[in-house]
Amino acid sequence: MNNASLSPTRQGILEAARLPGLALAATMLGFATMAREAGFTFLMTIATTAGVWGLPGQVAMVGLLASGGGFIIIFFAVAMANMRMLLMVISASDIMDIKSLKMPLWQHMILFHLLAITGWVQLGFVAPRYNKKQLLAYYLGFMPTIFTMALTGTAIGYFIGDLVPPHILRVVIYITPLYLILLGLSARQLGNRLAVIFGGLFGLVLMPFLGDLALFVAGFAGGVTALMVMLMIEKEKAAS
Amino acid sequence: MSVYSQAWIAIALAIFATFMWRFLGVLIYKKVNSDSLLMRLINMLAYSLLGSVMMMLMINPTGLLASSELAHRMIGLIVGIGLLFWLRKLPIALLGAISTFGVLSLFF
Repeated sequence: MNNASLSPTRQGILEAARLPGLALAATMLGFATMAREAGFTFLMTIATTAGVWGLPGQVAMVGLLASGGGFIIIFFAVAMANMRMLLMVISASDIMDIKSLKMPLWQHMILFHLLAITGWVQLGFVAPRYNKKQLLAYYLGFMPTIFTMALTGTAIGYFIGDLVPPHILRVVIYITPLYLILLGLSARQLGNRLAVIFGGLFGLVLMPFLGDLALFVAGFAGGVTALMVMLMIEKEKAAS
Repeated sequence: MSVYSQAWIAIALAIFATFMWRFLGVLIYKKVNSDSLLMRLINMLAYSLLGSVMMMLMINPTGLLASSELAHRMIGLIVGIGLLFWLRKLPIALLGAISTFGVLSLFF
């Protein structure tokens, strides 16, 4: 995948245009199908992807609105579904060493508006390949490409329901959760891989009892458990 | 209030509900030491949330994916994870999982 002769930005564009961009575009296709079913106009659907740029929150908003949920419920559901943005901004700013740049607030906001799960996981995946400055350049190639492909996927998805049979569309929609789980499990650091596994397993166990709340309980418990396991492993290594 | 207006208000609320986390992240990231235990925890919480959110979409999806069998989605996932740990090649693991899910949902 890595072509040493290309700049990090170009490499980012190229890599985004392959599997990650196609997977995300495929999922946005599914989201747009849902939004149209819920009565959204084309402009509303595009505005949701561009403005929210966080799929679980987008899906929660459309789903709740379609089922008659009130505005307060919609707000809290989206906020909870996209809370990970806070953690991802802190984590990504560290990975790219944004702290060392003298960047005004509005530039920060544009930079991090582009941040979504796919790009954040990809940053962790390519981190060993580049230094921190190059990672920012990579991000500036990768994320706008992903964003553009997701918007294209949304636009196509709004109309694709008329053209593609549902059983094919279903497979296309399946790609994104699958892709993101596998990408998370490919993380270089053992602790991060463990966190994905624990978060997923706790989610699996708690979902029948806690419903949507399981997402956060499992996320918190999984992260803490992974850290505790890593600290124990490091302690044992240090002792031996 | 018309359905049209309700949808636009919901979109605005969703945009704000997501924006506020990104904004808060920008406000506080400088205060977090990158080598600290807190930073490691934040990283692992984010990865863990990724696992739980994606598992939720696998188990309890909405829209068209909800019309597929849970067993088919999970078998596809297990095949993908198995291939990933066996071959260490993400594209092959993804292809294997998608093919498995596609075949199962089409013929069973």
